[in-house]
Parts: sequence; structure tokens; C-alpha cells
Amino acid sequence: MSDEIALLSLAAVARAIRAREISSEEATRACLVRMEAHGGKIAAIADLDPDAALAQARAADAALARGDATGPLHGVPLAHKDMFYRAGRISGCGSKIRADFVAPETGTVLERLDAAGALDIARLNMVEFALGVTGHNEVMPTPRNPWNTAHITGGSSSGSGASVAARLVFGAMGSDTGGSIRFPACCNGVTGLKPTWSRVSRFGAMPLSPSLDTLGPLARTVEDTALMFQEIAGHDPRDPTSSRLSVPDFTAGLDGDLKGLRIGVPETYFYDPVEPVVAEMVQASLDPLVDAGAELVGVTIPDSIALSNPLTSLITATEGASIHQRWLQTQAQDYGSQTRARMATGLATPATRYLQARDLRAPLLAEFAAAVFDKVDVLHCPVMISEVPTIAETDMAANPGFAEMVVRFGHCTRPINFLGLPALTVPCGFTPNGLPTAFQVVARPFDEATMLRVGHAYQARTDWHERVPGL
Amino acid sequence: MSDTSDIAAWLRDFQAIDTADDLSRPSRAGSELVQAHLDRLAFEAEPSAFTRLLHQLAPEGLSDE
Repeated sequence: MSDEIALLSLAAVARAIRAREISSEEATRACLVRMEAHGGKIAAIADLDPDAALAQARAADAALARGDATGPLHGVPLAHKDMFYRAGRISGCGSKIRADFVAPETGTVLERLDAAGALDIARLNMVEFALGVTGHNEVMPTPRNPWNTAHITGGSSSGSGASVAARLVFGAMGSDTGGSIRFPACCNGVTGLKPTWSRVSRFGAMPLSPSLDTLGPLARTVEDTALMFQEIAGHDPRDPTSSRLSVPDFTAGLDGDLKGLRIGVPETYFYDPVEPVVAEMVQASLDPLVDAGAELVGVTIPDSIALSNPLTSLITATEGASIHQRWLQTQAQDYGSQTRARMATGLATPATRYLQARDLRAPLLAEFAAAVFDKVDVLHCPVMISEVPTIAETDMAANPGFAEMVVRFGHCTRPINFLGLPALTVPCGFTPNGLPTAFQVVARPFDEATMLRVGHAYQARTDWHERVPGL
Repeated sequence: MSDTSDIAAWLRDFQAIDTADDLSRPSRAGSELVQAHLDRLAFEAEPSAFTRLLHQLAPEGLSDE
């Protein structure tokens, strides 16, 4: 019974708890059993207190018994990347430097998930300071892919992707500055949502590069992802950069019907470096979308998009260096070599160049929107350029070529951050090495509802999202 | 630390990495890219231009809260 519960989707377990078919305590015990059995193999968990988790669950059950439970996520066990602050709790940020940092207050995302009734039962491992695409961490444990523990999880929300895939929790928050939700979603075969920049408050979450940082959920299905996103989206007075645009009902359009929807298929840029085996699977994922009623339209991506990947490097390194300079000067030895090297490059950026790089976002977004969103509703494209590699073959630390690897890895993801657009990663099969792969749906700003519709229509016609790794 | 040579010295002293060229290369490459596309920048470039455009491109049904 325990594993039956753990294998349910977030939506299903939330319904079952609300209907009192199962208790929150049973759901939490089911997660704890899997954490005990599999957590060590995939090194996804930074910290777990089973007694505290069960105490939260019992409190949720008591609230439900009193009739106090109204939140859509009531009693559902979640866990999050170790960079979401909770008052009085350590947020280590995958680092030695912040290993003992106790957050003074709780961030907005966790407050909103708390208000929705969700439990927060563990802190999940991550790439050091969220600066890394493969999932390697030189100073803390590197999570392993539950489909094959010799392979990477992708980063930087490495523990989030691995723990959701291994069914240790029903959903997890991650962050995405250059692909850090979408890579782990792709590598581990789960669904990941990178919101429009400014759609979700960043208050009380570790900053990496505030011009690019976004926070979003990883979960087992599109519906699960929509349920979590519904709770965290929207303006927050504590983050004045968060948008004041109203938040639609993200589950309302999840009916599997895409009639009248135009899906853009890129004829340039995105597929250029993608391995044929991955490209074929991503292109094959269009068939169920056509079956759902969508029309495919070829789209020429503006040449200027090629600028956005290296400029993302410049902005991330410069803003990261600004935040980290004091520690780079006083505790340099406590950083992993790749994190230190990437941060250090930012110290050399002339201020004029940094500002100009940021100012190029508006004209490049205007060009992209005219070429893409004047013709189609969403863009469909790959996430990764290759099959999921092994930990060993991508263990480059700060050796020559690592910066090029980061840029190459982020070919399909980092331009989306530069342009501030939302994207949804949806698993679409397994490549010959037995690891998952995925496509991403990119929507116009603040149109997460449409990309969720597309992802749900795909999952209504496929079962890749239901596959569970045999740990 | 105000310029590349300072950083290179710091890396050499504290990290035993002699990477003056490597260190400045990504930054230099990014700078060259920006230089090549300066004509895309409006003279009136200001920080909110990007955020404003994001909101202008949003679906019509969404309103300000």
C-alpha cells in the first residue's frame, strides 16, 4: 500500500487526502519509506527529519478532521531545493560557505505553499549556489540519476529532479537562471516549469543572477506542475520586481484539446547542434500534439538569438560575482573550482558592457516575438542537445573547455532566460542509453496557461510521465 | 579588485591558477559581442524597457492586480 501511495500523482494524492481516502500521515510515511530505501543511492536529500515530517502530517490530518483544511495541496508532502529560506532553518545553497546559514524569515514561495496546505519535509541537494548545468557539486554530494546512477541529473535543481523522479516526494521547487529547472526535468523524466521572469516572487530565495533568476516547480505531471504553480504565481509586495498581472486558472484549460492552436517548429538555431537521436524523438513528440488538434507552423528564428547564450554567461557571471565578491576574497578555498572560476570571470566585466548586455534584452525580445509569436501561439523545441551523459564524462571542474561546455549545454535553454520567456519541459521518451529526454514548449510572456495546455494534451496521449525508475 | 590584472593576481596568489588570459576571455568575448551589436540599442535605453515589453507581449485577458 505504501508504494501505491508514493506512486500516485500529486493531484491524485491531494484528492485522496481531501476525500479522506488516505491520510497525510500515510502519504508522508510512503515518501519516508522510499527515501529510506532509495535516497542514499541518488544522493538527493540534504537534510531530513522524519519525526518533524510526520508531525507536520499529523497536524494536517487534525486540521482536516476539524474542517479547517481548504488548501488545494493540503497534506501533500513536498521538498525543495536547498535555497528556499524558512525562518530558523538552515538553507545551505549546496555550498560550504552557507552550510550553517539559518534563514531569518520564510520566503514567499514557501509561505504560499504552506498556505495551500503543503508539507515541506526535506531540503534537497543542489549545485553549489545554483551555478551549474550538469548537476556536479565539488563541495557537497552530487545527486545521481535514478534511471542510471552513473548518469547526471542535470543542474542546478539536481536533487529536485532526482527526488521527484524517484517518487520520494510529489513535487519540488527549483530555480532556473539558464536551464536549472528544465535540465533536471529532462534528465530525470519529470515535468518542469520555468515561469516568465517576474511571474513568481523571489523574496526569500537565494539569488544567483536577479536579472535572469526564476523559481518554478518540478513534478510528475503537467497537472501537478500547474497545481503548484497556481499557488506561487502572482505579485508579492516583498518582491517589487514581481509582476502585477492577474493570475489565470492554470488547470481550467487542461482538457486535452488543442484545436486552433498554432505550434511553431523552429527551422533554424534550436536543432543545429542537437544529436540526431534526440532530435528525432523531440520531433516525434509533435505527432500527439497534431492528434490533439494543433497546427504545426515552421518558424525561422532570428539570427540574433545566437547572442543570447553568451550574453547570459556575461550577465550571470557579473551579477553572481557582485553577490559573491566578499566570499571570493575571504573564503575562496571553500568554493568548488568551477563555481569559483565562473564567478571570478564576472569580476572582469566592464560595467558599461554589463549594462549594454542587459539593455540588449528588449530589442532581442522584440525581434524574437515578431518572428515567433506573431505567427504561432507557442514554440516547440529540444531541451538538451545530447543524450543524458554520465557523471564521469562531464566532470570537468574548472579544466580547460568547461566554459564552452556550459554554453554548449545551454544552447536551447539559456536564450529563453535571456528573453525572460516561460518554458515547460515535458518528458517524451528514452534515448538508446536508457535515459529520458524531453521537449520544451516556450510561450509568450505570462502565457504559462497555454504551454500547460499543450503539455497536458501531450501527456493525455502518452505515458512517458508515468514511467518510474527501477531503483 | 578593479581590473583583470588584479583578479589574475588574486587567482595566482590564492588559487595557484595562472589564467589571466583564460579569466578575461569569456568577459572579453561577451564584450566583443555587445560591441558588435551596439546599434541595436535605442539611445533612450533604460532599465524598464525589457520589463515593459514583457508586459506588452502578455495575453490580452490578463489585467493589473
